[in-house]
Formats: sequence, C-alpha cells, structure tokens
Amino acid sequence: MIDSVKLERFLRLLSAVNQEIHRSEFLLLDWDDPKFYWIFKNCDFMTWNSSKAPVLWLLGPTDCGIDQISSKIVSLEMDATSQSEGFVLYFFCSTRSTITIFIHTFLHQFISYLPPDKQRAAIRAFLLILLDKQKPLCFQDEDYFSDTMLKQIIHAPNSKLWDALRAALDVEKEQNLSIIIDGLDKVEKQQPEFIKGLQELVAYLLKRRLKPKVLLTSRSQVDGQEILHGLLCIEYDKERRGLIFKL
Amino acid sequence: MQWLWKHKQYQEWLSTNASNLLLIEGKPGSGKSTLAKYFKCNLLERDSLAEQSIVASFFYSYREGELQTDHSNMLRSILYDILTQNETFFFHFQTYYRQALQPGTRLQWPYKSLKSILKSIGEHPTEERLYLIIDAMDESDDTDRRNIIQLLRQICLGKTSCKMKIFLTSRPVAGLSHRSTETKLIRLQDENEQDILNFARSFLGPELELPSDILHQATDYIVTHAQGVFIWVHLVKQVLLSYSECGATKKEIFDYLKSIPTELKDFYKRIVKELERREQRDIEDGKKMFRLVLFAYRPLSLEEFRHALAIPDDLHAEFLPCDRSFEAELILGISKRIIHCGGNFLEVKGVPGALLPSNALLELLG
Repeated sequence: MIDSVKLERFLRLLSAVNQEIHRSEFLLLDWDDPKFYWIFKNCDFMTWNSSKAPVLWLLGPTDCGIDQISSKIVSLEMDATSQSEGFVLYFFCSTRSTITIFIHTFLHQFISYLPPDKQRAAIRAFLLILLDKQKPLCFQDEDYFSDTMLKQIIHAPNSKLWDALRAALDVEKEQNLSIIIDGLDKVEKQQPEFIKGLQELVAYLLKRRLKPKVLLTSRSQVDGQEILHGLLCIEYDKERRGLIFKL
Repeated sequence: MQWLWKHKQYQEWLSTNASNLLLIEGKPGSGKSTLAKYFKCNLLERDSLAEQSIVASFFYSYREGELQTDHSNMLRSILYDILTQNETFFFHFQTYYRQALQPGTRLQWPYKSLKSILKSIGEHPTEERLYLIIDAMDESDDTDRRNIIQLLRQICLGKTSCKMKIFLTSRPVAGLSHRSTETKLIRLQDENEQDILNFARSFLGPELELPSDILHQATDYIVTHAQGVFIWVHLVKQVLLSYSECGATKKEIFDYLKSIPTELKDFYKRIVKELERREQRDIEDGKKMFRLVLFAYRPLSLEEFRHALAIPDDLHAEFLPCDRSFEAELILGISKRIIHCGGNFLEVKGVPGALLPSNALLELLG
C-alpha cells in the first residue's frame, strides 16, 4: 500500500518550508571581505572545508553576518557537489521552526535530489518507520490511504520522525552529503529536543556515511547546547580575545 | 619639531603608496625619542589617513633593562597593538598561537613565530595602513638586531595591499647604514637647529635675564656648539641657572658659558667633579644613590629608594627595622636630595615615579 503513495502527493503533504530564498539572498557576499575573515580565514574552517573534520559549529552575534556566511556556504557546497556526486541539505531556522517542519523540509530536499527509483524507496523507508507495526495495514487502495490519514502518519511524534528521517537518508549512502543548519538559537519550541535530535542524526550519519560535512550555526548560546560541546567550534572573536591576554 | 611634517623625506615617506621606512638618525641626546613621542602623539591630528590606521609602537630603552631591550618584547608589544586595534588580523596569529599553547604550561611565544607573524601581517591581503613606531633601535639587544632590521626592510619590499609605514629612530648602528629606495632618511642634527635656537632663547632671555646684545651672542654660541645635541643644551641651561643663582654679570655668565666643555662626555666629567666638591655627607649619599640605581634588580620606586637610603651602610651598625625608629631616618624632600647629590645622572620617570640612571650616566659609563 505504501508503494501506491504518489510522489507529488507525498511531497505536497509535507510541512516543508522552501529554503531557496535563503540561498539566493546573499549570493553577492564577498568571500574576501575582511568582515568574514573570522570564519573564512580561520584554520578550523579550512580543516572543515577540506573535509578533514566532519562537523563545524559557528557561534557569533547577529551583526557578525552568520546567516550570510551560512548562505554563502550553502552556495559553495552546491557548486562543489554539482561538480561531483553529492547533495546538500540545508535549513535556516526561524521562530516558527519545529522538529516536524525541519524533518519534512530535509526529506523534501533529499527526495528531490534522488533518481525516481530511489525517491520511492526513500518514501517507503520513511513511512514504514512511521506506521505502527503492531497494527496490520488495512488500506486496500490509495484512496483509502487518504490525505487526512497520510498527514496524520507523517505528523508522528518527534522521536519517530527522527527515526524515519534516518531511515530515508539511508537509501542513498554512496554520494557525498553536506548539511547546513543555520540559526539553532531561533527555534523557540522544543529547542533542547531539537538540538538533541540533531546531534543524534549527525552521530548516526557519521557512523553510516563516509564523509558527511555538517555545519551548524547559532547566534547565541542555545538550550541543550552542551551536547554539541566537543565539536569543532568557531566562536566569533573568542580565540583572539584569549590570545590578546597571552601576548 | 613641527619641521617634521614639512620635511621632504617625511612627506615622500608618507605619501608613497607602498610600505616603506623612515629612519630618523641622530647623535646621542639629539632628541630622537622626543621626536618619536611627538610623532606618535600628533600623528592622528596631522595625517587624515591615520584615523583609520593601526598605530603600533615600541620604545627600546637600555636603562629600563631587558624588558625594554629584548626583540621578543618589541614584537609582542607591536603585535598586541595591531591585534587589539584590528580583529581581522587574527588569522596571521592563529596557527602560531596554537603551536605555542602547551596544555598545563605557561604560554611561551617562540621568537621565530613572532617574526613570522609580523612578516605575514606585512602581506595582509586587504587594504590596511599600519604605522610602526620603533624608537632607539641602537638601545636594543644587539644579538639579533641586524635580523630585526632586515625583517623590517623585507616587509617594506612587499608589494601588497597592506601598507606598513615604519618610523624608526636610532643612532647610527650596523645594519642601518644600507640605503634603499624604500628607506627615507632624516639626520636629526641637520634639522633640529631651530628647535635648539628656540630652547636656548627660552631660558637665556626670560630666566637668566640676559640683555639683547649678549643674548644674541650666547644664543649663537649655544646653537653653534650644540652640534644638534639637544641634551647638551639642556645641561647648559641647568648649569647656567645654577651659576647665576648667586648673581653674576653678563660677562661672567658668558665666560662661564664658554668654559663649558662642548663634548658631552667632558661635560659629564665636569659635572662629576662638581659633585665631588660637595660636602662629605652629600658625596656619601650620592655614591649610595648610584649604587642602588645601577645595581638594583629592577628600577626602584621613589618610596623604595627613600627606604633603601635609610638603611645604614655599616653592617654592624645598630639598626632596628621598626616603623618608628625607621621613620626618623627617612629623607624628607627626596626628589630635591636626588637632584642635589645625583646631579643630572639620576632620573625619576613615570607615575608614581621610578628611579633610573639617566642617559647621561649610561653615556659616561660607556
């Protein structure tokens, strides 16, 4: 029955938010602008950018242009992946972002990248996790698998949605994957849960994939961020301030 | 010192759209440090570009000890000035900083890294203007002086967006004699005649009250014999004022002026001889002062110096180091006593005041 769910219909029912606007907004950002030296000339960024470290967390105040940087990096990663096999998943958090919106957006982007056969496999993997295995499926045809029913399924509890996203992402393990998530601090609802889910997703991808590249950013400290400690992190001007006292 | 702003070499140095070096060369006592301080204090007002520029400075000083003669300290001080004024320079430091950071130990900056950072800053990729003011290169540690001079010259050779304007003062020393198009030179003794003239007039007329006929002669005499050495004129002022305190005719004052040695070293020797003619107590106090200043591990504060003087020299003398008995031995008006017993050879510098050997004393001792 799951196989009968049409791609267009499935994508339409996802609560995905179009992220294109964020990508195009700062295309004119100059990589060589000294304003952005704190990141683009930082040796930790270079390590991450050359795929020698899988995850980088950027932390800085609003006026240091972190969203512009995220946007630029999305574009650069897209340019890079268009040259080789790979895809970029990105999400710019807002005050209205929820775990469901995030997962649906990621899934939408992911499926859009895939060839038709793998698109179907991803939807199947996603839905299979969400359907309660204890209850046998009683749908006979697609009409019975109504929009209302499908919506209900894809708006499952958060823990299930994270599992389902992981399962869907497993459909394509060969290609390079870049993930950029900007503005973790903007998420107002379930922020600690969101961070935790994200950390588990990243940990899962690191185990399953060869070299995923993950960039996380926040403008300020976020609830539950202690689980991100240990990641390669560039905090705006922190190291320079530390250095000044040691000169 | 306003002549500086209009000087051809200075203007060429300033207006060239490239990194370059302005060398202010001068004899001891010709006012190099005073000029460097004057330049630093007035730069922002005089150069419209300086407001958006980085200004870093270091004043080498032999008499202030290792802290002020060491090239590592010069580099650290200059790099600190740069990094505090412009955060975008941080990436030049980052790798070296991490290499220097050793867990559990105090951070030690390798000298080589500091030089590399400064060189890297000279190649900064964006349009920036930096002023490096380095005073008294001749007073720096001579071990690596040539290499430091070489490094500064190398920075000036770079054709990058970043313009480094190096203002360097020194006596003639090895390594600085090499001339290049990136170096502009001002010899201070050729330029400070007007400053010396103004200074001489400022005390010959108002303070000594010399009438105009002798005033001109005395001024000419001083300007001619100063040979660009400002400190000589300063000493002349002090001895003339002291001589005239008991009253003297204009002829006596002028004759006394002519009797002053024109060579600085001879002048110092004469001052020492005058100190030796003082009362025995003054001589003993003077000797003790010189010992304390020259052999102290670090410069003593005025209060420390006052207490150190109160300790008897005789090891067997009865001495109770209690506040009440000690209080009676402390000299009141210590500053006056230092001038009286130490002549021009001791100097109180800074606030609250640290006692240092003057350049005159170091010069005399070679």
